[in-house]
Amino acid sequence: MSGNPSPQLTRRQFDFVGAAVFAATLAHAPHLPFVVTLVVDAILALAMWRKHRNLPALAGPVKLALIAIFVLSLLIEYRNPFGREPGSALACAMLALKLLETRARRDALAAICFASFTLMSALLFDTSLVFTLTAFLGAILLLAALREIELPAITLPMQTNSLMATYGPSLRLGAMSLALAAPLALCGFLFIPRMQSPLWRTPDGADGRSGLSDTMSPGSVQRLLLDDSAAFRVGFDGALPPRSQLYWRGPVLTDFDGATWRRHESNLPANALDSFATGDTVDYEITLEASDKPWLFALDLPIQTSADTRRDRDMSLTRRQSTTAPLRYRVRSALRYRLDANLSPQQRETALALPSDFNPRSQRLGTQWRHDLHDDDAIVQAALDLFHASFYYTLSPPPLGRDSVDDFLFDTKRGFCEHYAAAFVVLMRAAGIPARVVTGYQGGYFNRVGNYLLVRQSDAHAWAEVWLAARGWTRVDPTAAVSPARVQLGAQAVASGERAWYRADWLLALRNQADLIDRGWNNLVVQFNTQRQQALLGPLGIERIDATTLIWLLIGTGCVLLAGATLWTMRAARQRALPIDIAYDALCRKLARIVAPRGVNEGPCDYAARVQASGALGAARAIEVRALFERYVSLRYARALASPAEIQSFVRSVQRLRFATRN
Amino acid sequence: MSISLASHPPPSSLDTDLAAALSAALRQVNRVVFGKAAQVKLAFACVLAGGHLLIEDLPGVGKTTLAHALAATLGLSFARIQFTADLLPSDILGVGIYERADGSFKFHPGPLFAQLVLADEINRATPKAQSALLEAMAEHQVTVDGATHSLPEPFFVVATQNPLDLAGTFALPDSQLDRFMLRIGLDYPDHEAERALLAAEDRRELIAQLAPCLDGVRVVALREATTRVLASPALIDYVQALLAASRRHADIRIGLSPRAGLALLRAARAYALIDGRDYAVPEDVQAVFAAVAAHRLTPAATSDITRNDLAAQLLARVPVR
Repeated sequence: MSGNPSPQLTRRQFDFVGAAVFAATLAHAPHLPFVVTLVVDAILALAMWRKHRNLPALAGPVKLALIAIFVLSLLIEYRNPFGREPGSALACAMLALKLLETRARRDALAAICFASFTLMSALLFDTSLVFTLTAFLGAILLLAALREIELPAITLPMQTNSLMATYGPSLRLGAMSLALAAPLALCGFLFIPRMQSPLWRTPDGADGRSGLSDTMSPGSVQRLLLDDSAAFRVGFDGALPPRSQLYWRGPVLTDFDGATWRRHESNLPANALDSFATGDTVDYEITLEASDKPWLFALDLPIQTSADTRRDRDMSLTRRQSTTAPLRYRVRSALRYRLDANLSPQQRETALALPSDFNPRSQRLGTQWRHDLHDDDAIVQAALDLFHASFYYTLSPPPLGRDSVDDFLFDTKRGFCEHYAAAFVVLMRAAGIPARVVTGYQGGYFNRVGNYLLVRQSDAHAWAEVWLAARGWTRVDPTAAVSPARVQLGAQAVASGERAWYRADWLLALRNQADLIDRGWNNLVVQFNTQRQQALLGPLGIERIDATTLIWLLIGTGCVLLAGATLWTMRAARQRALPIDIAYDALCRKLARIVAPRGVNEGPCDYAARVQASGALGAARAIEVRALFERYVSLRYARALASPAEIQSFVRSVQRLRFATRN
Repeated sequence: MSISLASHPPPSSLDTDLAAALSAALRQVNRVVFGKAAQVKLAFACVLAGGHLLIEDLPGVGKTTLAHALAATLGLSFARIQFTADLLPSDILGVGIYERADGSFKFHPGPLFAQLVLADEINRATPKAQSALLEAMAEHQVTVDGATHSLPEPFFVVATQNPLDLAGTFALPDSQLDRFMLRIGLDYPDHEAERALLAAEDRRELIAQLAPCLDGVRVVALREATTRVLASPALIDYVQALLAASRRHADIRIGLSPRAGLALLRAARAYALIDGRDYAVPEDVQAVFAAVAAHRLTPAATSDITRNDLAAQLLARVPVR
């Protein structure tokens, strides 16, 4: 970097840039291997140390060697140089190396630019509210460093040792810049056309469209619960059934191999005679979004459907082909029903099957219940009581081992619908009650204006059905036992006393609150996709909006914001200006057209002399203009306080001054 | 350079006689020092503002001639101190000498006890001798052997230094430079002026023949009149903007102090008085700015820009109207 005209960085400026770079790499620490973070930090520390010792820049070959070592070790660590993790590790490493050669202002600007990119890319890994706020802190540091480089603080050799007094002003300015950028960022957030699917989710799993699948293993529903896109919409012919009845039946999973629940292969067509409505029926029309899956959803329990849909023995609806485009179909459902009053031995066998070498503790518990309680209803109640007593609902449960149900029931005790449904069914089967998992959706959002119910992917749910002798297949939702509203969860200290503090009431309430906030953040910001963008403009009467319109909206709103900011700034400046200054500026503008503009640092006497010397004004005009300048100088400089009347008179004189346009 | 808008009558604070004497004095010095009207005007502004003058330039461009011409024209008692490496403070201030008659020490004043003192080649003396002079300049009095002796009024020091003559010099530190209200350079005369200089008679003889236009009492009166020149709020705003800009400038390590601001205002007032106005305008500030500010600016270590260029940059950047 020798011979670089760019000014050298002071130590203070370098410290700021170093801190900003450190923050950017720190944002990647959670998902990078510990070793990578360690090496990156070591390089940063080395760069800081070298700057503080005033050591010269590293030689080119040394830098090249460092880069080669890094790329090689990343290749060894990841094997594959493409993808998010290797990419972010490489970005962090290069950023740290950049600091090692940063000497001049130009380098620092490049480093800050790249650090901004690195910081932003950390959001590819974690979009939670807390992490985003942390990233904002990093952005403030970056802006403060930028400010330090552009406008170095006046550092008098005084004893301003207070950390806040030394670094505060720059940090405050960084925060202010970030806040000032917020309206424009919001405008971009709302109006930049969205991709149909989030950009960065695709390389993670090539799952194309999301939707319920016909298998369930720990964690499979979780992804759906964070996905806010629509699953289907329902228009009811009559009134909306009560919310607690809104169980949208999807694939029914009967086979369990210890890890995964699957549909039972040899399903026979439903025997309509065995199931019948015992109450009112509801008629409705469903518009299903494209799901690339063959199954349809209907309210428990569909008793009459369109001709081209197939109803299985377990009352799940399927089509011959996958639904690749939005599909509309009509269903009649019975909210009160009796399904399979009699169970065939074959059905009974599949509904009781449990892999014998999995989940021994759960099986023992089920057997014990059967022995202690005898009554099926009591056993169901015992399971629900167990959940209600010491489990709680979370979307981020700890990982489970091989005996997933055992781990969940006896160790972690935290999970969401699929955990509860699976554990409940395993317990029931162990106690000798035929049971199966039903997947689908629960609830929905009723749009009063459109008079339809919107069911989102995040409404995905899994519950259980048990077969009771008098009632046939009966729906039991163990999740509801745990968390009717998730918040009012009563967590009693576990009998064993294990991690009692962790389940303290206040902590639990706090965590539930935090979960709700996070969910709100997810709903409002992270999941803001094409549909939501469309919905946002719905109230304005814009039904469908394409990318071009959105871009125009973006440009329009951006212009309005910028114009507003400019006007505001100008108004603020004008409010400070005195009438005499405004009039003098007007005089100079008029003369600028005839003679020459006044230099920004040209005093009135100098300018007046220049105007006179130019001879561009006629003799009479020259005298008039000269008199105006004399009055101005006299008002502004020859007296401590000019009277408003005199100023007003001067203002009027300037207004009266008119020049014929130059020909 | 400022151009008067109208032929102003002499300021009300200045009687006609005094104003005429002032302009006669200016004309006379300009007759002796050719082609240096701007510097002569600044030197007069320095006298009127009650500051001290530092002339910094190459040998032989007329520093001493200017000082001599000033002394002769202003009608002040004159003393010259040639600074050398072995100069002692007592050589400047004076000494107490034992009087056998009454057995006491009698103070024999040094060359400093004159109204106009020319301190020639000030940077050739040791810091000890330099600071003896500079303290006297600041205090307008001298303390020797525990007795304080006031210096005559008016008291005006013109110091010269050769910037290039590095061997055997002791550069004045920034804090000492600050004692000089104005620092001017003379530079080579232009072609015309040099021609006239070579053709004309010897400067020394010319100076010897000069008749004083002013005297000590009148200089003091002019100084009083200077303090009555109006600096309007708008003008003070401008001075403040200049000070603030010097503190924000990226290439300036230490900006202008409030004392520099005061000096700027006083010099601008004096400049306005010389132009025959009883109020100062921004052009006055601009005319004296480089002379007042340049030697008080400390460039940043990383910058190789000169002090004069920094002053020019500040003037160019700060808007005025």
